Amino acid sequence: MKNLSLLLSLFFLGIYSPYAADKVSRVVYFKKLFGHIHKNPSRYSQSLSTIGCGHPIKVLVNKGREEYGKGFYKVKVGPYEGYISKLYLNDKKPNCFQDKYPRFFDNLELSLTDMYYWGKLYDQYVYGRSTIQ
Amino acid sequence: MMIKKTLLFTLPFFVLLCFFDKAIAANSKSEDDGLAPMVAPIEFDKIQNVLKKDRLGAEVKKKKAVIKKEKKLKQQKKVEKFNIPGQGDFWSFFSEYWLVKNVTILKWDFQKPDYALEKSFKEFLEKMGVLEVRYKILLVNTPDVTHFALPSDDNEFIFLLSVPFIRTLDLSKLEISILLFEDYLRVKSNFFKDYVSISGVDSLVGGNFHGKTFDVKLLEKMAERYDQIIFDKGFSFQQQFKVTTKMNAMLKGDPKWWNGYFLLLGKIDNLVKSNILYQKYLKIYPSPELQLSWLRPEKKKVL
Repeated sequence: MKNLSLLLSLFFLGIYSPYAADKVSRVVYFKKLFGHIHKNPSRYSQSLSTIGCGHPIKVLVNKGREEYGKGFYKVKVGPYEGYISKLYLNDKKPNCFQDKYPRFFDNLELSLTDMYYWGKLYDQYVYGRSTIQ
Repeated sequence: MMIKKTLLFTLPFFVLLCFFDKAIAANSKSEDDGLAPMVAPIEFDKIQNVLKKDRLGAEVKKKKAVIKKEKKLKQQKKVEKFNIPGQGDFWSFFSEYWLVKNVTILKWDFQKPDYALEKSFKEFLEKMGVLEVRYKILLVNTPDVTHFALPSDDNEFIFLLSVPFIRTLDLSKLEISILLFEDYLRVKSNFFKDYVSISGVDSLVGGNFHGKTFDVKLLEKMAERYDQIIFDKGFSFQQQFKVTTKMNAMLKGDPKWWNGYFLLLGKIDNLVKSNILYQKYLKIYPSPELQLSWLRPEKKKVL
């Protein structure tokens, strides 16, 4: 009887826990030069980790919900679970600058600080495009 | 008793086994002796025609060609690794590189107010008939760079816009769009690219440095040129005149826009004359007062 009640409580905890419902829906790739996994679905939110172009990212779905805030996906990258703007993601592996010009890129000898701020730069831009209506 | 029985059964089998073993050994020896004189060394000269008929020579040629092609491709890939970005990739990369290196001066990493610029500038460009242009606006938290456009990829531009400058002048969305549009005309006229493209850059962009050492100093010099034009030197009177007359021609179609431009220049002129923080503005964009005089319609003498 004691075991049964323990099993039932574990079962219900599994259903109602916000973490348990997160499932990996697909794998996408990061397409900008550098970027950040944010703690919250906001471009100003704290960075959990800096990632580079072509990095595989697992998109998490919670009860069919994929998008958070203004166009952010909940993602899992290595040990980190956070948020990233869907503008920076590609379904297929992108043709990254680092891969197109590897020796040129190596010669620049970018520091970790440079990479961090390069990722931040993409978060800080206001993007726009004039189109034919 | 038991041992005797087993011996009686196994002994005949053992004798038979020994007999067969010897017989097989003798047989195989005689076979070897018989074959040895029959195997002769192959004389390839004699069978060359047969080999040709078998198309083995052609096959060898084919395989050699494939190996040669593979080697060539491998070498090509090795050389391609030393490619330098071409016009399509270089300017966006380098402008961003400069922005990253100057983050402490420009102070762009801060939480910005939402001016909804992406929408207002898009509408302005579309009304002006400037279509299929991509832009990135970076708001900076310094009065040192008030507004500036940097080259990027084809049909893409990076705009720097100072939040303290917007706040001090209390600029409207239309005024901001006009200011950005003026910068767009400047960068489109290649004033910036012409200034920062020092000798050697043309051969660098889109080139390859396989077997050579990469000249990092050239990039450092270019970054210095970026610093000079953005922080100190700015644009010449001739360049300003060209831009102002172009703005005049393009905005004349709508009195609201033209008046907006005229009033904006008036506001800036007052600011640079009264606020010490913005006195450097005249060095970068000479000069709002002159621009106003170029815009004013000529007074015709009536006899």
